[in-house]
Amino acid sequence: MNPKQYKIGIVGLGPVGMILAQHFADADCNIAICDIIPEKIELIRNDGIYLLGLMEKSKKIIEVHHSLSELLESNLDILVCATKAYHVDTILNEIALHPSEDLLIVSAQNGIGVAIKYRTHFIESRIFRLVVNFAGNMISPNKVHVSFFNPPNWIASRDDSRRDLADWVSELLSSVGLTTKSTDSFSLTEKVWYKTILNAALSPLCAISKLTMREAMTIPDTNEIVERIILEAMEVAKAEDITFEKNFVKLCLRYLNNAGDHFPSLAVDLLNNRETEIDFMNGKIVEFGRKHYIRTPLNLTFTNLVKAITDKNLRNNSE
Amino acid sequence: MDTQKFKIGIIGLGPVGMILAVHFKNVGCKVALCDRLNERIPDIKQDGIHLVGKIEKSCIFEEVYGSVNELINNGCNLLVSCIKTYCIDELLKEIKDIPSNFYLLTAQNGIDIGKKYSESIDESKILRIIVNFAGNSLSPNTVKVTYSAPPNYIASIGDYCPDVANWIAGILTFSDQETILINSYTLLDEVWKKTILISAISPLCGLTKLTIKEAMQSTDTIEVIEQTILEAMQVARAEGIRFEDNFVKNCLRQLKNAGDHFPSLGNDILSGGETEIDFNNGKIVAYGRKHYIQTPLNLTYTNLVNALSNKNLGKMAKQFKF
Repeated sequence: MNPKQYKIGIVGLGPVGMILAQHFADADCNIAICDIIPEKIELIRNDGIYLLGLMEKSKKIIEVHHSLSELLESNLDILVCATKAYHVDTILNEIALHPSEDLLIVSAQNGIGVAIKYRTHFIESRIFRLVVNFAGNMISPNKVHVSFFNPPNWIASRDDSRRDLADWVSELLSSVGLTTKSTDSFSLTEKVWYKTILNAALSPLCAISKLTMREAMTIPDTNEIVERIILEAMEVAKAEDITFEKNFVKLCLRYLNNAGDHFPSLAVDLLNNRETEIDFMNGKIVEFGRKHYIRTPLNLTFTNLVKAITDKNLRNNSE
Repeated sequence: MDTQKFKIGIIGLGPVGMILAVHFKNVGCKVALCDRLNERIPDIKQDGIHLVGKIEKSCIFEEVYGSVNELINNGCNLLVSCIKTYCIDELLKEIKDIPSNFYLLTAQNGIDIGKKYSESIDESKILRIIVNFAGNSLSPNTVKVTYSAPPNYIASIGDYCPDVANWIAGILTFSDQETILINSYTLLDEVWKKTILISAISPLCGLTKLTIKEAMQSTDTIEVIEQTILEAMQVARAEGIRFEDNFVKNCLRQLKNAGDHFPSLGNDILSGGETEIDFNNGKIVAYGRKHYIQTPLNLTYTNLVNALSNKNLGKMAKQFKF
C-alpha cells in the first residue's frame, strides 16, 4: 500500500478535521489542510497541530491553506469534508468554481442525508462517507483534547463501486492507530443512523436545558426523555429498513452514561449564537417520520425549539 | 347587595392578587392584604395599588399584613389565595386551624389545585375562580394588566356553597369583571382549558427565551404549540372534559393576540427558581399515564423545566455525586 498514492485535502479544522489530519500525516500521506479562520491558520503554520488526551500526536503539516479555493487548486485527489454539515452548500459552491473530473469526496460529517447533498456536483461513485466514532474539544485554535474513541470508524463508497479507495483509507488510518473499517454502503447507512440517533438523543436536550451531557444523564427526569427520543427515532429508522442489534437502547444509554461533563457540539453552537446541525439530526428523524406517517413529537419539539432559538439569536446578531 | 357580607383577605400580591384586591375594594368590600415579600408592604401601605394597561384603577388599602394569620386574626373570613402553586404546602401548614366560618377561594392556575387544598381544608369551604385576566408587575405596587377578557368563572369545588360563590360573582360583576357562577363540573372544564393554554405556551417561552409574541410569529414554534394542545386535549377527553368547537383555533388566536412579554411560568423558568409546571404540564403527563395516553411533548417540558430548576436551586448537588 502506497500512502502517497492519492493526495488528500482536509477542509474544516475542528476536532474531527485535526484528528484526521494528524493521523494521515502520521501515516506518511501527501496531505494539505485548510480552514477559513485566519488566526487558526497562522497558529497552525507557526506551531503545528496538537492532539492531547486519548491520542497524543503533533506531526508537522507543511501544506496549510487559508481557503478552500487554495486547497482545491493544489492538485487534490481526495477532499475530506470535516466542516459542520450546514457548510456543505458553501463547499459545493466553491467546488463549482474549480471543476474537476476526478476529485473524490469523503464526507466525515455528522447527520443523516449529508453525503447525499454532494450528488448535485459529484456522481455517486466519487462520493464516500466516513462515520467517525471519536470526538474531542478544542482547547485552543490548534490544540484538540481527544475525549473518546469507540473504534472502529467506518468508511464506504456511496454506490459500492470504489471499495478499493475505502480500503486504502481504512488501512492507512488503522495503521496509525485510528482503527477504521471499510464496509458496504448499506451497512454504512445503518452506522449513520446509529450515530445520529445518539447525537439526537442528547445534543438538543443539553442545548436547551444548558445541562452538560453527564448532568443530563444523571438526572432521572432528563434521562427519561433521552430514552424516549431514542425509541421514537428507532421507530422511524426501522421504517427505513435500518436494523438494530439486540439491546440497542441499553447500549446507547450505557454509551451516553459515559459521556463527559461537557456540552455536545450542537449545544456549544447554540449557546454561542451560531447555526446548528439540528436539521441533519432530529430534523431528519422528523422528516423521515413524516415520510412513513410515524409521529415524532419529541424530535419535532427539539428540532423546532432549537431552530426558533437559533433564528432569534441570528436576528439579534445581525442587529 | 351586601358588599360587607364577608371580610376578604387576599393572600399573595402578584398580578392576580392585586387585580382582585382592587376590584373587591373599589365596590366597597372590606379587604385586607398579605404578602410574604416585606418590601412590597410599605409601598402599598403608603401609595395603594395601581392597575394600568387594559384596566386602569387605583385603590388605597389600610390593612396590609405579612402573614395569613394576621388576616385571620383581623377578622377576614373569605381568604383568596393568589400565591404560586408551589407555595400552597407552606400556606397550608401556616393556616392549619382554620375556623369553621371561613371560606377559601383559590384564584390559581392548574389542575387539581382544589384537591390540593382539600387535603387540609374541608372541601365544602373551598371555592375556585378561573380568572380571564393577567398582568405583569411593573413595581411593587403597580400592575400592568396585559389581558382582560371577562367573563371569569366561579364555583365551589364540591357544589356545597353556591351562595358564597354567587356573592363573589355578583361583587366582581358589579366591579366590571363579569364573573359567572357555574357548577363544579363545568368549572373543571374551564380549569383544563386554561391549563392547556398555559401549558402550550409557558414552558416553550421559558426554555427558548421567546416572548409569547415571538413564539407566535414562527411556524416552527406554532407547530409545537398546536401539537402540545392536541396532546393535552387527548388526555382531557379521557378525563371527560368537554371542549367547544374550534377550541384549538381559539387557543391559537388568543395566543396570537398576546403581547410581547413572557408568561408567568416562563418568567419563573428564566429567573431560575421554582415553577408551577407540576400543576400544568406535569398534571397532563400524570393523567396521561392514568389513561395510558402518551404525552411526549408535555413530558419533555415537565422534565426539562424540573431538571433546570433543580439545577438552579442547587438541589442536584445533594442528590447526585459527580
